[in-house]
Amino acid sequence: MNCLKIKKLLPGFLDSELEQEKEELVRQHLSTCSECSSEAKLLANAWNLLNKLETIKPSKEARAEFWEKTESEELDKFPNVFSWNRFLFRWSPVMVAAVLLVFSLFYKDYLPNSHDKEIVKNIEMLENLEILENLDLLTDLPVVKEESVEI
Amino acid sequence: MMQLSDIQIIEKVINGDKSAFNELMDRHEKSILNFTYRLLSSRTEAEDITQEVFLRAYKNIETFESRAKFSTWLFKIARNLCLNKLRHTFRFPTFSIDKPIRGSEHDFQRQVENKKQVSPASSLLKKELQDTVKAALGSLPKNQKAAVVLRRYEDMSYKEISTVMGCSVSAVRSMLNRAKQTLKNRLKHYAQK
Repeated sequence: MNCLKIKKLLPGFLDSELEQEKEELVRQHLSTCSECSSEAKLLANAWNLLNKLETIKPSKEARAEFWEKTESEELDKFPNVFSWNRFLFRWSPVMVAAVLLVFSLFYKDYLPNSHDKEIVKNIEMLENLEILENLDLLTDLPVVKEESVEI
Repeated sequence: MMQLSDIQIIEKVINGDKSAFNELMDRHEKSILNFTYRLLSSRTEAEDITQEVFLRAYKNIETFESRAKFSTWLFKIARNLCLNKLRHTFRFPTFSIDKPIRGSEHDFQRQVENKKQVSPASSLLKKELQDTVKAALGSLPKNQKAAVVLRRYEDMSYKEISTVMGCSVSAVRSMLNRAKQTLKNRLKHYAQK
């Protein structure tokens, strides 16, 4: 592996986040290449300099303020007291499933099956036939009407 | 006495023991505060956002999925709130009428700082180094900065960072690579010593 590729792998190497195989390759390369070795040292030193930033501590007032806010925003409504919202939120999928189950059990006889569909189809066909029979197409046509007058 | 896990404490909170939430805050407040402080560079804003993080966590504690780590969840909320805050600050910058513009003749803070030059050299160097590191971190894009803070100060793995940031591990790797190069270039002067 050349220096360019090794340099790309250096940040991950310093974080011990490389695959074992790659890590070993980088380690071997660093033991022989002074340029990459000093680059790795520079990266590590710059990274360690972040330690110089100050760390702040939370104040006690902030905690007191937090609890005041929870009370003012009426967040303080945890269990002990029954909550419809919580109940519905938790059990809504179960309730929906139960309703569907009950519906399918009790109303399955009312739902159309293939036999019903066949009957409906036949009725429609009969109705169409009846309409056709009742139509006196010949007499309704204007040409036929004129002819019949001549006769 | 055996220490309860975060999940066990959350169960207690859900079952009505609200004071148990104090224990969760004791454990994570400092990390969240410093995370937000490093992203926002303002103590007051960091404190406000930290409080908001815990308020949201408290309010939605029942929706917390125990598969995830509680701290990861908190960092996720904190990161989102900080990014929103930064976006808002970028769009609507505010200027204090009391605070003088840096570098102007009315910049009393600067004048006071100049007086510090009489203080010991080591103290000055330390301050200078802190400012440089802060500026280097501040120069990073928002997401890179968040990734660096999570990695450097919270010692999170790339996988955990990807969960907090809502991106892939390779994206985290790429962000950290670029951030480390930038930091190296900006801190070269001190890193060579």
